[in-house]
Amino acid sequence: MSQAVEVEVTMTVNGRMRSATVEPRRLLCDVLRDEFGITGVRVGCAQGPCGSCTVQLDGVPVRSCLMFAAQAHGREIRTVEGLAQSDGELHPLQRAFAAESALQCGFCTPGFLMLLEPLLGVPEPLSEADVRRAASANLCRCTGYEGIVRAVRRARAGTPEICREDADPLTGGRDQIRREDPGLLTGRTRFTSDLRPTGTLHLVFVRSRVAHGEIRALELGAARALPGVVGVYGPDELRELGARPVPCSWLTEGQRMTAIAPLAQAAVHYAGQPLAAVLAEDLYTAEDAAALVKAEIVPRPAVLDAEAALAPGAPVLHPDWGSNVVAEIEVGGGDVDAELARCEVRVSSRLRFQRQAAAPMEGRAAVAEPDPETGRVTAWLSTQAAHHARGAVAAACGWPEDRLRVICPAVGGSFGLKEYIYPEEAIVCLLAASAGRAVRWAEDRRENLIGGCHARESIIDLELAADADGHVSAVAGTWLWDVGGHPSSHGLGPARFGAAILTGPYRIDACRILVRGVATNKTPIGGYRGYGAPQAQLAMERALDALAGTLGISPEEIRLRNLLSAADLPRAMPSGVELDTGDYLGAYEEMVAAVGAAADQTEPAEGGRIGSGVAPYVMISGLGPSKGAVGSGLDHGSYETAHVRMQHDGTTIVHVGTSAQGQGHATLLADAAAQTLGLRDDQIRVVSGDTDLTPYSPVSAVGSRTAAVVAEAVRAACAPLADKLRRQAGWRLDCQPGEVRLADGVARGVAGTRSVAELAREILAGLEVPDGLEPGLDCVATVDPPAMAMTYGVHGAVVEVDPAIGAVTVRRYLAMDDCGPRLRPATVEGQLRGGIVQGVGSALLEELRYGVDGTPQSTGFGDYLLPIATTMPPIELRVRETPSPGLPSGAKGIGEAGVFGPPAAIAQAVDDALARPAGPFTQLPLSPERVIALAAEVPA
Amino acid sequence: MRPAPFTLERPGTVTEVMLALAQGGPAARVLAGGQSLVPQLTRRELAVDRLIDLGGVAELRSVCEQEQSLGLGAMVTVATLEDDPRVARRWPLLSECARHVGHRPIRARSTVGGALAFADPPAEVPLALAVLGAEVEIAGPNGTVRVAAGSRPAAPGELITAVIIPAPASGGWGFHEVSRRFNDRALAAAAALLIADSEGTATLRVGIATATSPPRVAELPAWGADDDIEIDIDGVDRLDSTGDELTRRALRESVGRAIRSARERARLDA
Repeated sequence: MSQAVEVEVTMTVNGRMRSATVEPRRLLCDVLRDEFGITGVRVGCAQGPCGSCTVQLDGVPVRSCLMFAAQAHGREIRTVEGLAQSDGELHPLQRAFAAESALQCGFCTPGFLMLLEPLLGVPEPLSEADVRRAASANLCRCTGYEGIVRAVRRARAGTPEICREDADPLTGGRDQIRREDPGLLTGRTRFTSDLRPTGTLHLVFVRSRVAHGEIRALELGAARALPGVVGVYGPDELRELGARPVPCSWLTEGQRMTAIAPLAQAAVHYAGQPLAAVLAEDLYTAEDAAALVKAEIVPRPAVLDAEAALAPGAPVLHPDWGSNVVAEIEVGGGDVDAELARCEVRVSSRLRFQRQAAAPMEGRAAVAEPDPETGRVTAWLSTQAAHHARGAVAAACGWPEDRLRVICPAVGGSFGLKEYIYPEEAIVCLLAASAGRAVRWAEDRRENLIGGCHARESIIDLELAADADGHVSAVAGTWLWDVGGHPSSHGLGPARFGAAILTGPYRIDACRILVRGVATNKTPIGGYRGYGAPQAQLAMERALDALAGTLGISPEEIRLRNLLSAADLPRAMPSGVELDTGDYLGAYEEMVAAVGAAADQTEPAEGGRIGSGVAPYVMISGLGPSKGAVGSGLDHGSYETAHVRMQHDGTTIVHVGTSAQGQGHATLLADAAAQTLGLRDDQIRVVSGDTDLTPYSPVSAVGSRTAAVVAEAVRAACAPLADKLRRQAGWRLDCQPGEVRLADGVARGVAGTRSVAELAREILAGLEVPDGLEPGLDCVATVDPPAMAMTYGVHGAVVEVDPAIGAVTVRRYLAMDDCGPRLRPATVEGQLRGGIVQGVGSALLEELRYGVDGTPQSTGFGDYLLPIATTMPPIELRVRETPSPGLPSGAKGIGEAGVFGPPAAIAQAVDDALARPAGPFTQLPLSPERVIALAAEVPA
Repeated sequence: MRPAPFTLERPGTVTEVMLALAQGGPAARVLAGGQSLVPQLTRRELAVDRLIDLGGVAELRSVCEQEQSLGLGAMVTVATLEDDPRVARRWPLLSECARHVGHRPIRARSTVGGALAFADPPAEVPLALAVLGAEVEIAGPNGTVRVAAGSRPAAPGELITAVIIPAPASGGWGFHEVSRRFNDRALAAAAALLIADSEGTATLRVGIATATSPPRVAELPAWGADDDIEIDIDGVDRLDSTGDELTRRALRESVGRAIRSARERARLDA
């Protein structure tokens, strides 16, 4: 190996001359971030396709991960930090982004701003399509791109102001800008890998390239000898440091394997499984050392399909199990057998839902720092669940829980990927304590796609029992859940959860699904937006389409005959889950008419065929009550606690254990507090996801529960404080507490006002307060929702199919969703648009693929295809707001809702375009090859 | 992942580059735009211990338009092919092909020489150059040779220095590619050019490329009714019968559209 001679690189960055002496192999993005501290340059993939690292080089947008810093010597670089005006005012494009909800998690935002800013100076007119083409250079996983495209057009039109006139009564006249936005837009907000305590060491994992085999030897010596390497750890070394398996949190009775070993021990069960950890002074040295670790693995045949894994003679991954079945359980209720016996029609339908990756733009990351004085360790984790992570990681390190503090910084998207506790996170903490120095691990896209939990892959076989008119009386089925090399923290969870609501919005009282978790030599599988329900819903929709085809009636007609109407609710599903409120039939009828009209208006290009499909869904939101989880195998309930403290000057801090990954929860929760306490937005601060500072949350931001449950807890904690303020004000203003109105930081009585600041000072002093008013302004409240809330909706797609090359283009997309009263419409719409585009990814583009020997073939965004800005037309949203009876606000959840509609609606639309009845078999994604095959089945 | 160590040289002239290549040994590579090379190095797919950065070699960036030809230095960017009015006016096929290379930030750094050297089979710029009958100047230890574009790669120790494109004699051209998403790597691509010889006899020159097959060029009769395109496509089909069903169909679609466009433009020109 040649000597690495360092070079001096000098460049002007945001107008300032910067210099560094670095190895020539240092990427420009790394030098900007590490040497110059410009962390607004984000690394989303380190391979090129995502564009999060986009900077301007002499005014031209380029990807800074595709350049060495040395190539920028003598050049001018502009990053997002240089975008704001000289007086600190936001750039017009930044203001437009905020106004148009063009950002959610904000991780990709600096890259988009630097990519699209030059468009503001283009003199020729730019159509929506032009802007979409330009924006398709970069990837966003949260927004679905529509807000980004609108923001560019708005900024070009010269009206970048936030819509202060768009006073929405529900938000009390607040701006569309979220409190998260300024930091995200300017690049100042720091994500986990932006945090770098002094002397941080870098951790890299060595991962198996073999999918299935026995580990004969692990040679760490050569890696250890490399200068700059602090330590190289195999399973034995970690065990000596106290490492234990990470306990799984959702167990099924009889489940094989209930905890996850930090590193592979005697055998490896999937390519990508971590074998060793390398700790070094810098990332590049750690990578060099990782390349020197040699694993001697004797390969065994790989099994890559759940059915193949169950076939006689299949290789058994874990010999002590006897088979490849991880666990199995029946979900449902009602007398399915009786219905199957007496029904007039039986139809079978099979769905193969592909293996997907949640693929947030920010990969997984962890930074842990030990405190030499107390021995405690602080860990910043890119996770969804700080408290949950803390418990599991402490257990995995063999520590008492209080030794560890977990903080969630800004998280660049998750969608379920970061809901699991990964052994990597525990190893970062353990090694930080052992080394006595901060340790950082930040995966690139390749590691994310092979090491982060996969999602969705299922083979669902359903049999419908129906009468001759297509009224379905029962559903029976088997769900093969492709677990991967070993169960993840959530095991069979998503399949169980999905199976429980498989009958959806239909009048079906008997359903029995055998959920079987099957081990295969692929990355362990977890949950992803919808958590099993998308597969269940699609399986049901396609089974209905197959039934319609068999009976010679239309997909619309079969649904009109089976959908529940508002008068039918509330109604228990066969599994016991209650459908609470909503008008499934009415919404469906409305959308069928709207989508039909849209299809009629759509002209195909030469050789194209137009088709449409409409699909309803129901979705569990607002998880609860906690005791509802008894018997489910989940090791926790789903209540939420909020702690609210008002300070001397009336400013108020809201503490919640949950945290956000782009959904704008801090804004929602601040709204809830401000409304209840009558404060201004700037008088509220939200502290979330810090195990030292926030109340315990058993669940965190999952299951679309924040608007419903967490906001309710915040209101419940604010209410007693508001009462105290009114009592104090009434006493001071000589009126009844009930006559006091709190608004804008002021208490108004019948004949006089008093600022909340003055009232707070008095109550905290505790001297001049009325009898019976207890001094102090801290309040803790817990909300355990009495029931889950069922969000529902109906989506429709108009597609154009080119049967010659199998191309499917979505020409129109209409969505109606009912999540009850909307706390913040812009947030709801953003979640829907982003979810819908993810759903289109499932329907048409995304698939994690493996070679026959189990080698992952999807290791970057060049192979794993995400939707881009040109994928979708503008999405047409409609609103219904039927309150949930469970909680005072009536709000239901929306976070996951968008993903359900697209696969079902598009599959139906493709059938329609090809003039073929739905067959008994559906496989996603509807790739060109599959569409060509479907077209070929149709008689000419 | 991050790249393994290498030494970096930043020569200022072609002479210095050739010297560095001669001294560099088998694991020395030139660095042009880096859009393909850098991620390969980041993923450690290539063993390179010496990189010779062409970014400072000004003479490789020249664009020289003459009456009968266009001369492009190897470091001319794909974005320049897209933007430069000289290219757009007289070699519109090249501009159009350039527009389909990845996305704008990639094109800002990708180079003509890099595209030829990397030789990704469905790449648009090598396809255009093949159909345009371009030649490539390759500098070696024994001097510079000129060969047909795509006829042979640069050997170790050699450097692509320029591309010379003859001026096409007529205005008919067409390009079409089929890809999964907008500007993704093409499944199949076709470029067509109507060439008139000195006697006015017109020929249709069609180049095709797929994800696995590098550019190949065939000559077909220039004119026919539009339903004759089927015959033409069959003719082209015989050039590439190795692809799967989707590739075959994508190729037929691309060829059909490219030929139709070329004829349409030629008719408008006439």
